[in-house]
Amino acid sequence: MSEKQTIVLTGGSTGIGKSICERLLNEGYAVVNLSRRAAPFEHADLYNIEIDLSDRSAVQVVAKSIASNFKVTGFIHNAGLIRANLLEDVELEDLDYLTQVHLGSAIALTQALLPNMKREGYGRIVMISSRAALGLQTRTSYSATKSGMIAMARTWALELGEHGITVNVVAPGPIEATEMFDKVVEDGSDTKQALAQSIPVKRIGRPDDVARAVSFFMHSDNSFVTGQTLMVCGGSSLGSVAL
Amino acid sequence: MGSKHIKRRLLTYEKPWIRQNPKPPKARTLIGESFSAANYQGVLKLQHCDECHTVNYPSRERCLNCLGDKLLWRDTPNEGIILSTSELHHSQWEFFKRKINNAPWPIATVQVAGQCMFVHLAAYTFQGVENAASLAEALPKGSPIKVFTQSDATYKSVLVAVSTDTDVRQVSQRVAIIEKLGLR
Repeated sequence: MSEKQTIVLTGGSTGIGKSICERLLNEGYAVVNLSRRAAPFEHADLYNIEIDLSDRSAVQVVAKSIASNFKVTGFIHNAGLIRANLLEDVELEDLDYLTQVHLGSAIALTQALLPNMKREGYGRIVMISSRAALGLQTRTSYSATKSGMIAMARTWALELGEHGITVNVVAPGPIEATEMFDKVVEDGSDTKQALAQSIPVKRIGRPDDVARAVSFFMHSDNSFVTGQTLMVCGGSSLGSVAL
Repeated sequence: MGSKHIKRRLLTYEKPWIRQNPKPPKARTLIGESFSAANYQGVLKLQHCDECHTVNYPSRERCLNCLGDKLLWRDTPNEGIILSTSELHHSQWEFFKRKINNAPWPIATVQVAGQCMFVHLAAYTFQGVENAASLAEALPKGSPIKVFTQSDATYKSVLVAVSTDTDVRQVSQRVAIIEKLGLR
């Protein structure tokens, strides 16, 4: 692992994160996976750390530990969850929770990893936002925090560009075979069919569609793209507000 | 060089004795750092060769038996035996110097999962050590022990040997031992 680039990935055990994790390992990176459960597969360059990202103090400790044990040059913040509620029923506790998981943990981890990236003059940060950042019913807290990620990435891109660090966002649309999707839409149901037909490319996305986009941003050659949001949504974001 | 850097240099290299809280050594090789990361959670994780299933320690890039390059970090049975014990009466490292001022620092060579390890010895967990004439007498070669890993004050995983009846399955139990030894 000595010559390998090390990437910290959150939520790399299931769904989109798992696909990103497998892809990065196949591409020769070492991956530190911060997740509530260890990844369901083994790899010589995979390090699992089980952690609840909503626990602010635990995140701080783990961040310091990772920073002292690895020379990390990449960070992918993929972990996320939905607390679906209509506006009338939105709990402010949910907003706090999602703010910590989507934004707070990203800030704490990046702060810990930044000194090494600056020392190396190289870094790649990718945050997984969502098409819901453009607005989606029942997603008040989710869309607020996911669009917060986009704004945060644009800010970081401005601050860190001179250090060779790029910060980008991948915003997936509906992606099947993820916990988030399976909770909302049953496999083989009419709803799923209807959803697929409503998407311009007439299919629901797969985790590897997102993983390829992430891989593009992580590549060391792609140093002239920063602060951008790439919608991986089969065209489902088109016709709404452009960011 | 700014004053911050000068102060750090003094504390680290030139006058470590003026440090308020000296820390255990944190330098590791790159592959050694992966040991710390892999053992951030769990009792003991060592590299298992995917080809020949040999357990490898210290951490390495190729299997010591078959030179296979797929070494997977897996939970490993942590029970083993003592090969030898010793007490540290002198150290060049400020952290250990101060520990040794109070009492000699017990260390051991143990065999776990077929591999030889150099470990801190939590002597207080063994019965009869206090009354014995020496560590070697209380814990002769072949005495059963358990080994666990836990991060110390520098966030690096260290190996500690305890008696077989000491429960180290929970993080809090392992941290308590590390703290009692003064490694945190």
